[in-house]
Amino acid sequence: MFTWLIEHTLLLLPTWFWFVVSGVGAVLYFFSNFIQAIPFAQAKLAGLSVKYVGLALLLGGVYLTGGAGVTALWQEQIKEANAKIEAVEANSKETNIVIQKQFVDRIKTVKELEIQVQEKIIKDSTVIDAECKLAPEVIIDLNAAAMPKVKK
Amino acid sequence: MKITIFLLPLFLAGCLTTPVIEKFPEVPAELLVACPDLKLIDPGTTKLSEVIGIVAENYGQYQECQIKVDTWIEWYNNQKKIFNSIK
Repeated sequence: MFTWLIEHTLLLLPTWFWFVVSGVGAVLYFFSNFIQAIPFAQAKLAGLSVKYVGLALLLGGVYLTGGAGVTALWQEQIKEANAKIEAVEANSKETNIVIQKQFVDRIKTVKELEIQVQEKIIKDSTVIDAECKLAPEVIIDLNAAAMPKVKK
Repeated sequence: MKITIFLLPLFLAGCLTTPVIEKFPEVPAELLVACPDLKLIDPGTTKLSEVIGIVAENYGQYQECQIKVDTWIEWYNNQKKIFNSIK
């Protein structure tokens, strides 16, 4: 809530406004001594009130002047950082396109070779099956090796 | 008065928020597909050529997954390099 208040209300005010507030505070603080010196019954109380109001305005004004100055400084750096991030994101996307293309090409090559190998096996099947008798243990052992070992 | 003069520079520190949002880099959709399980041989098979066919298919499957892992490593290294270039 406090952050929202700062972002949406206080930071919208121009820096000179806080200079004015500080100035008014300083003037009030300075003149409060003169008010206190006036020979009236309520003058001391009025002077003290003006002094505290002036002090509050001075401190608050200086605090927010500093805030506005620092914010302006940071806003400039944020702009630079955002521009850098945009450039980096564009670079990242370009890199992804290159990587994606390489990946698709490599998979395509592997699949083409797989088809060639499968065709060769089919072609050679007569020779392969002619002299070999397949023991059932071969299938059991190979399947055991191919079974997933860890649950996903 | 002296305390006020002392406090003023401290108050100049002010307050602010710095909203810089950096997005996590996108990954090519092909890399997000998990590798399938290896193919099993039909227990009723009697021909060696069928067994070799399945084994060869599994070799192919391994090579596809190898490419996928290599591509992930390449993607990570490239994106890390790009990320570090910000600082």
